[in-house]
Amino acid sequence: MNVVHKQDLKIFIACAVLYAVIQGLICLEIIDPFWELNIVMICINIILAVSLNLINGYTGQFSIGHAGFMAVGAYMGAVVTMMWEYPFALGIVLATVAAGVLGALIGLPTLRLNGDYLCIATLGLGEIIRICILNIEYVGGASGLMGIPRETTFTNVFWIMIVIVFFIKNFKNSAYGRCCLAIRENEIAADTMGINTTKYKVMAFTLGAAFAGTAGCMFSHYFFIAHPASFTFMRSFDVLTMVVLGGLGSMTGSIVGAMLLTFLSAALSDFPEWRMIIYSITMIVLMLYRPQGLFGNEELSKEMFGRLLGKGK
Amino acid sequence: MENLLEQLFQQLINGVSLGSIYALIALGYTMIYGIMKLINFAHGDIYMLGAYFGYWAITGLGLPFLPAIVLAMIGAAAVGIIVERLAYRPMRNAPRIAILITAIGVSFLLEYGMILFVSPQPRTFPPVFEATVYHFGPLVVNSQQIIILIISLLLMGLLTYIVNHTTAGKAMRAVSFDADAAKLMGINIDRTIAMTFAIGSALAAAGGVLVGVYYNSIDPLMGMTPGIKAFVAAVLGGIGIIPGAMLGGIILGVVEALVAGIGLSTFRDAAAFLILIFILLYKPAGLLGKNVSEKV
Amino acid sequence: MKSWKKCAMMAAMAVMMASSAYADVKVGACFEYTGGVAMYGNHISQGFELAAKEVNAKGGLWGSEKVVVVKADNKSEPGESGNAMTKLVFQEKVVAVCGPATTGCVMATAPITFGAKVPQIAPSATGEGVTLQKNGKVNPYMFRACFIDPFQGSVMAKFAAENKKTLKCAVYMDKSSDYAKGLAANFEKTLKELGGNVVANEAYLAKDVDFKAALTRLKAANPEAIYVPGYYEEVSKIIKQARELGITVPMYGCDGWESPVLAEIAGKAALKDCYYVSAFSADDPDPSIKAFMKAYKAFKGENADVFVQQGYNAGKVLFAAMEKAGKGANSQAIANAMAATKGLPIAGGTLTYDAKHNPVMPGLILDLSSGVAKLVAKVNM
Repeated sequence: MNVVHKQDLKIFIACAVLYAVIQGLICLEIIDPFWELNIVMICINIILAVSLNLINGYTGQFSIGHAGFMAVGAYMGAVVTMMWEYPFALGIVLATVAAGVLGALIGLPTLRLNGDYLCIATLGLGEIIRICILNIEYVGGASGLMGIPRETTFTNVFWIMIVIVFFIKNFKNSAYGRCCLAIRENEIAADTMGINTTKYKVMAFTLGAAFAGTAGCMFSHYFFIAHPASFTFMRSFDVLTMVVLGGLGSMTGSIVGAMLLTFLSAALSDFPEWRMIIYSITMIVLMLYRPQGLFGNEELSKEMFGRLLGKGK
Repeated sequence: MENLLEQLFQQLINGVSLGSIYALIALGYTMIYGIMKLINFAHGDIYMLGAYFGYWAITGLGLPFLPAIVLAMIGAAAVGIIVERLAYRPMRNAPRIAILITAIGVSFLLEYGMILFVSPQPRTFPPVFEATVYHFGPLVVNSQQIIILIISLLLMGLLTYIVNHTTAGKAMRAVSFDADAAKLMGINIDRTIAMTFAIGSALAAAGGVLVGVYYNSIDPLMGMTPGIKAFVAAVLGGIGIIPGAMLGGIILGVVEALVAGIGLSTFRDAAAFLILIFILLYKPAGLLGKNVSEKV
Repeated sequence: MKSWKKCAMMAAMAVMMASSAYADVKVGACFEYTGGVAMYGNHISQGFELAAKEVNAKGGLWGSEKVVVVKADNKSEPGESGNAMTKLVFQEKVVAVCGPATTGCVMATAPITFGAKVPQIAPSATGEGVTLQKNGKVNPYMFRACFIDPFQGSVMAKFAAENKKTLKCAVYMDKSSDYAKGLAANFEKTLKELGGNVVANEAYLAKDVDFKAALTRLKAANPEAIYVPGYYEEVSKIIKQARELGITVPMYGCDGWESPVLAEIAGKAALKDCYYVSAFSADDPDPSIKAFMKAYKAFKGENADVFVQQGYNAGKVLFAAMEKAGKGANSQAIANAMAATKGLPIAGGTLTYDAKHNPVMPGLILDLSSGVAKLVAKVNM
């Protein structure tokens, strides 16, 4: 979107190295399929978290219907690759577009609401999307869509994640992004400054929804199945928790949040009865003692480490 | 034609009886939202806890129905106060989203805590009073449906009285109107909010016990859907307005019954949410929303 | 900076990986321990654990090795099932797996066990396609311990048409379950073949509690009987509410009805003329059931239901095959031994697999009129 900065280039190279290391470990079978799966899941969750962060964190519009858009992407992608038998790449594109279009259609009327009302409306919309899918026999209805080919690999999900993360990062630093930030800080003030608030809110919402669709498509092509039960309110809530855990408005926060929660969920899978309890207590305690999340709305940076280390002494 | 009319009336009866259950839960929701502007996601789970308290009081302590329901209400009120004290009070000045997430966290904690303690298996609620079935021509009503409707109307009346005609109610209204000013006037905000939680939770517990009797079964996740539906009902009627919760609940119940009645049963949850969104868009204050002075 | 964090994470992962090693035989249990259908998952798993416990009480497999059941939660989600199964197969390196409970979740895990050549037994997945591959061939690693949908639906239709002479039936199914949908379709098909027809169709979703609206519609269609494929949690309320609305016609069901809770919630009076198909009856005089009920009561302190029985039988089949395949047998040998299962004593009779890895057994029609299930007919198709 913008000129490539030196800083970006550095991060990009770091990503490439990281990719090479993980891919190497996978090829050498040092990372077994279970952890490979969780790494893929982390990538998918990062996409979900940063896209929700764009809506909730940057633009300040409180949405908890992310699973709905993810479902649209998951099903759209599966229909494209499985039923129409087009390549996976087209599936991703159409899944993204479909979720984005739906996001725009839904966003236009509902983004007039704010605060709790928007939150409960998006929750409702997420459920409506799910119930509609449940009733469409073409995509398997309640049984879900089975036999989806496994097209998602660590390689493609990783690079798609990087592209999306960079896109959102640049969006935030663009003129559009600054308008979104202004809306978050004070919608009325932004309005009086001549910012078309509706336009930017819908823009952020559409982009967020579209990337959730991408994530959904990657999800269904990794787990062989698209099932309404995968896209309940619980999933929206998981993503929201990742974003809030990391800190609303902090991109690195969302990334770390997604990694931490995915990891926690995998680590707790041995204690099924306790998993949800530990999960909810963690959340309450976190909210009580650090409601702004781990990083607040700052980005993880050298300075932050410096400060943390300074405190340690 | 006559058959259709019969069906319509029967569906109305079904709807009102379903709606009066939503109304029972929505009353507490609306009070708590009114005073704290908090969507208390855990409210549906307090309703579930209430049902379990009632169950234990009847099967464990061998109490008859009325003392059992009172005990359940007291138990749930205590839980409500504890939840408020531990989870919500420290968050009073935190960002809204943080409180909301805490509320969802509390809700999951109650649900999965109960699953751990009592297993996810549904329990059979003891039949404390038999359902007598009344036939009006082709229409069927049962005595439990009537009792639930009457109790929710009574509770609504009682609540309206408390809020409008007692000192405590006056304090609630003041806190709801402007918490800081109320504090300056010497109102103990903490106590007022705790009391609101106690009353709201007690109402939810009453609802839980009645529903346990009506459907004959309770389980740890029974509060999930009714909790959200009750919120829809509260918004529909105008959140913070007590008669609004009643009205919203009944309308929601009737709409759901009618949606199912035209053969779209599997869409009825979607219908509930659709109504919610339309109300929010076109009349965010709810159906009875104009009367601002009555806000709790 | 990001990579620094990720490296730390990888190190943590590596530590976790290294820390799991047992000398015993590990079998996986991938079930719905939490989430929407947690109850079925937990019950089946307990049945399976009971079977494992019995093997261990007799000295373990091959006379020496204890069976260790490694649990993994799939949160009642197909996606998570893949996650949980991958963990069991690749990380815990189990020799075989039991579960998940529901057809959807099993289908999501099948590609994983197939790819890794690990035998899998699905105790209660009744969907016809479960044991088949995408190309229609039998999946050599997939087995089940229950009826298949076509069989059960047809049995009920046959009973309805021939024994009860109710040819005008209505169907009220759980639309959120593949199981119920499969049953409804096959009930309708067989009923039509026998000269009947379905006069009304309604659907509900799992976790619904109020069914009066749809029941009012069914009542208006005036059927001679209502077929309600679904699980007992909802069905018990459906029966109760149907009778309250004055619907007196017979109600037919499936093995999802099997639970003492059904009669408690619906109430004895409402159960007049209610029948269902099952492979299990809690008061079955069969000594194997008596012994099983007693063992489970001692194990968990409650009465077993059909889910416990299915989990238990799945365990019986699996452990018998492992015993037969011999110590250190590879997965192929275990799968072959499972496929060759013939006349194996299980709770409720014996089990033999047909060519498609489906157990061959008669359908029992149970009558609930007296409040407890009484065997009224055995139907073979």
